[in-house]
Amino acid sequence: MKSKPAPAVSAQFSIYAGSKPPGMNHGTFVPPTPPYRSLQGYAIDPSLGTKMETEMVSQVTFHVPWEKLRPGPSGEYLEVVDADPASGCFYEPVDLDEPLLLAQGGLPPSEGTPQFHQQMVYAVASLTIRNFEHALGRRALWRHKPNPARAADDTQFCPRLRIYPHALRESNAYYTPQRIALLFGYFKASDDDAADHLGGSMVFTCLSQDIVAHETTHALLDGMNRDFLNPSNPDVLAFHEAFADIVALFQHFTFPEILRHQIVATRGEIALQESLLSELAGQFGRSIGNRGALRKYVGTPPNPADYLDDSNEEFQEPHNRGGLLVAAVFDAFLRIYRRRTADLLRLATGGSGILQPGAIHPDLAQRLADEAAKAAGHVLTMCVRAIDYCPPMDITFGEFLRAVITADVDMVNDDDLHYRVAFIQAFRERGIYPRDVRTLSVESLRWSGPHNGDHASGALNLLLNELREEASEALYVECREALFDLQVKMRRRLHGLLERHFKEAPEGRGDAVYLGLDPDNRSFEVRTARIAFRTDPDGGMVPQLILGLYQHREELVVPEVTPEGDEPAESFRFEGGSTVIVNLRNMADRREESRGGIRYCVRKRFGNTVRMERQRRFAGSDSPGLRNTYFGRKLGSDAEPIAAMHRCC
Amino acid sequence: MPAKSSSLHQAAKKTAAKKTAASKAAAKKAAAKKSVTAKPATKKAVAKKPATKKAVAKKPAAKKAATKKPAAAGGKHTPVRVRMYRQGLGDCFLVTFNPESDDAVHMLIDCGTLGAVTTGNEMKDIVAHIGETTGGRIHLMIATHEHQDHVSGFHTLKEKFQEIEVENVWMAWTENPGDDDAKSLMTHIADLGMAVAQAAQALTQNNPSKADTDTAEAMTSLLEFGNGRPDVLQPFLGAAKSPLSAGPTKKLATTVDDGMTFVRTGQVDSAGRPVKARYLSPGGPALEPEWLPGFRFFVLGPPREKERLKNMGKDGSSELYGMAAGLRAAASGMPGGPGQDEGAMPFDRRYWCRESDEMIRETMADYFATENDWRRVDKDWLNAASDLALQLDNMTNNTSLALAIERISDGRVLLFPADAQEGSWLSWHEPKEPFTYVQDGVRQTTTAEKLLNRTVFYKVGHHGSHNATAKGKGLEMMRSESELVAFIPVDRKVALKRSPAGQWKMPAHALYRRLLEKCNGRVARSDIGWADAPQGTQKEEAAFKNLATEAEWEKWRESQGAAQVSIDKLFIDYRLS
Repeated sequence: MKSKPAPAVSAQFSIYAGSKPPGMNHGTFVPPTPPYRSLQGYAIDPSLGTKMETEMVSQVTFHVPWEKLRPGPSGEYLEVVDADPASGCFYEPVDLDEPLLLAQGGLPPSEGTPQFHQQMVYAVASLTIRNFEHALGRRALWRHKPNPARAADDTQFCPRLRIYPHALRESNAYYTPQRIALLFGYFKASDDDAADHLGGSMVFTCLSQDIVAHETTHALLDGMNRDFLNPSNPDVLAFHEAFADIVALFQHFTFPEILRHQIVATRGEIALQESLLSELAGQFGRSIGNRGALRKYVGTPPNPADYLDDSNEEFQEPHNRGGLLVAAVFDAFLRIYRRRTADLLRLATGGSGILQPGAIHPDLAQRLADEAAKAAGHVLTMCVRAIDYCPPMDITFGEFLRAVITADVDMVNDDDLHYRVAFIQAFRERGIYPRDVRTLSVESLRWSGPHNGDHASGALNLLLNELREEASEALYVECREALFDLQVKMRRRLHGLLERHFKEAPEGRGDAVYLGLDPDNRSFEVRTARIAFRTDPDGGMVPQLILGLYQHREELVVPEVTPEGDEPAESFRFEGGSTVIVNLRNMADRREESRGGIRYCVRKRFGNTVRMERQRRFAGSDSPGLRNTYFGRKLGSDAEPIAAMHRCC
Repeated sequence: MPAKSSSLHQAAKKTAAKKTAASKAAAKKAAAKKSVTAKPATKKAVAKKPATKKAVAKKPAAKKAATKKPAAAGGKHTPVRVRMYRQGLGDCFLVTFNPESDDAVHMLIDCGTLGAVTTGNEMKDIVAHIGETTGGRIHLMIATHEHQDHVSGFHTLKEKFQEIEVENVWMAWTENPGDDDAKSLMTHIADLGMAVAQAAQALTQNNPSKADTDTAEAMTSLLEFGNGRPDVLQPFLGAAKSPLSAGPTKKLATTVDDGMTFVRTGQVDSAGRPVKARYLSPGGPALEPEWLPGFRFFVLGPPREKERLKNMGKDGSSELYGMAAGLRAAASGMPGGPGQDEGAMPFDRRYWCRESDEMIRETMADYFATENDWRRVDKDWLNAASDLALQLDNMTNNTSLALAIERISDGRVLLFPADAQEGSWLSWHEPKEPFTYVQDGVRQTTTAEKLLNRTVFYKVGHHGSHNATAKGKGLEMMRSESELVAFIPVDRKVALKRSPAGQWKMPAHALYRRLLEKCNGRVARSDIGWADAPQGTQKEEAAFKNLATEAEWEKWRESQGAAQVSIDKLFIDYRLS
């Protein structure tokens, strides 16, 4: 009998700590990593628990990706900091790795325990990130860490988004790009409150799943493209709002309990206004006007004039305008859902497709819920993937539609359930389509590229192949920081390559124009450079390079007048460039999708004077609202764009 | 009933119908043509005064009905002159009824300014001119609401005003010290002011960032409306150590308050008796004062419903409450310190930790590390006070006494909404008590829409800002486009100099353009006179560069030349013959 001392490091994992039975000298037992961490939380917000009809679905268990956590919680993507300057307080950070908490899925939901609030924001934000990454197919990065010494420096990695669950004393919550943080407010409900909560009770925005998911998405989107916060046309900020809301909305569909409950309650008609799913944060949305606006238009009959008539001030405001996009996407989802469930309903109704009065069969409810979840997942994926295909700046809703269609064409070869048509139809009925396409078909909405004769020089395509090396590096990066650094490296390298190409190659000038840049303006930026791996229709893997090229200049809002004295004239930033999608793998013998080189070039030409004048007019116009009368853009919206947008007046 | 008004309405309806029937472009063209062809007629009207010719010819019945009324001497309409003084960013209007006669009746609406840069006129000259014009006797004095730019003159030139006899004083019900609703409203306004002032002060303490100081300045700038210079913050900060301490906030002694009090209680009539202010509520029977025959006053606002007054985020009061609680916490320096209301804290006492607690320093070391200072959020919550500052401004503006003055003989209306914001405008259309008047012994009902339809002179609300002229339920209802004239009391240079510099939208671009369209160019501003295309040297006007095409301006200039408006250094006159 011989006993071998167990290695010290593994002692804590050994189920036989200390006294090891003989014969186990092939290494110590290592338990598997848990697939996820279970955390309890509110399904939508605390108000559900106070009503009989919804009490049973008021709480859910979140399954968030497993990671080692420090008190806070603080992990790979997030750090929750519970400082409450408005009350002069701090609250002890929760340690979710504490065995007592691990054993019971975290703290039980409680409005009165700050530690539960910390857990709730962590859980919802983690879930949002996971859903987003899942749709995107790669890991999410936040906006770069600011460098106080050099404002233009965007090469510093910011590992974690900070979350302050109790930073404000108002019915507001926002993402601040300056600090890469989410700030949540709390407030005392007034006696004449429109929502369900008791007058005088505390309402916490950080306990609303919608709000947390919404703000987290702002941060995720900003991490992908920070130029979507430059309001160069009325759609830009509205898009930010709408996108955040779309992600928050479809996040609800990932909870089978709630989905089933709603399907039963609405007899399958989940579009109903009173449906929990089509309402934003119940507790919060009703008591604060602007938030509800995003889902105000869901389920209302579409009217193209809402979007098209730019003299209609109601829809120049980002929330209302964003509401139109949310409604369009939700409408597309409903079309898909109805199509997916038509056969089920026929089966369940003996062919008539008309449900008998009364409750629907639980099996049918389950199947409908499955289909709804599936459709929601697909729609969310379509929207998230589209971000890679959006123009790098100055986005309009119509361009987002083109991006959705193009991304989907690239990802799904056979659109047998007509998802794309569902999108086109839902958007068209709301007047949302690009002005520069002749017909509203999948083919004409797809971005242009070599498939319709819009191609760069062969030299440029060859040049871009040099990035293959980084593409294979991307395949093996081990952490997000390495991914970030790799992107910075690619941007530097590409900038050098392109700069030389524009200057020296005979095709250089033409290629610069092709890429939407002004060849006479020497300075340009490679704003983003990412590697994505896509599956081609034949099942092979295609590494893609996604580039964001960028030029900018300051333009005076009123050009003819020279400023006198010390007051600088009001100016705006005019930006141009392109999003370029490049296939790095070339299978020339295969079909078009598998060929190498630039596949799409989504241009916002820097030399487009019509667009510039349009932006000038927009910059010179006063947006409505008392806030704007007095404070203008300089105060608030420039510093904290999301905060300014979320404030009520 | 051969009611004149009904035939008038029909006429109005007809023109309205014509306009809506035609396509937009056609209507515009028609309007343009009309103005050109109508021009010589109106010109004649100015010169010879049979302006009524057209009107008379069209509706003889109406005229007959009108002449029955004793008011109009000699069967004509009683002329009215509206004089907009050019004392800068602020309102001062002297409305004179029957100005050429010996028994002219003078009515003064407001007398205030935030400064006059463009005209350089001084307030004392304005008040002296008022004294001269009125011969030291004003029949009706109105202070519309408690803002510096409307009442500063009543404070700074109190002595001058004391030389003027005032027969009647009208104010909004919100100024009535005996009205319970008014009292609670004023307390709320005072609370808001105090929270804003203290938040502004807190923002500028302890290493403020540029954004912090900018926000504080902008909020302070708004407070000045309510308090006047130079003691903007002082009355608030000196008043109480702990903000919003239990019990009602005392009304603060400010220049504005003093001006209001002077109007309310300091007036003496020609018989030497002190004048008792009359407080007006919206709706109900029109006022037909016996000293002004031939005219009716409809009180449109301020609304009595609290929601209408606010018409802002519904959480106004909870935000204020939160801000106040936070300021108390900040003032006491520690959670649960003296003066703090434990009920206002988000959590029970057992959860409270302080920065100095070792456990907090340890577990939140990252937060306190200096290299992470850029991510701290110590002052963000104070920015909510900018909402409160806007609420404060909006609410006070909505306490504006809004009046429609109707000339009985022809139904034409002069509209003086003071600074009423959208919430007030909307309330005009749903009065608790309908607007009524007595015509030939019979009680009739009318609506705000009808009054707007017949408006021929519009004192543009709140210096032409975006929120103070309702669109669909306001400007678009002013259908007397062939003769509508709008006066904007504004000094753009002053507005642009306020903090944050260059931001105050007065007049607002879109509204300005629509006014010019509706009035066919007959828009006069107290700073520059007739609205016109910006000239090369006018930096402040440059933002209006794309307001209209040269052809439009040309057309508008022609129409301006024909209007019954005259421009003087001290004032701009409009005449309704």
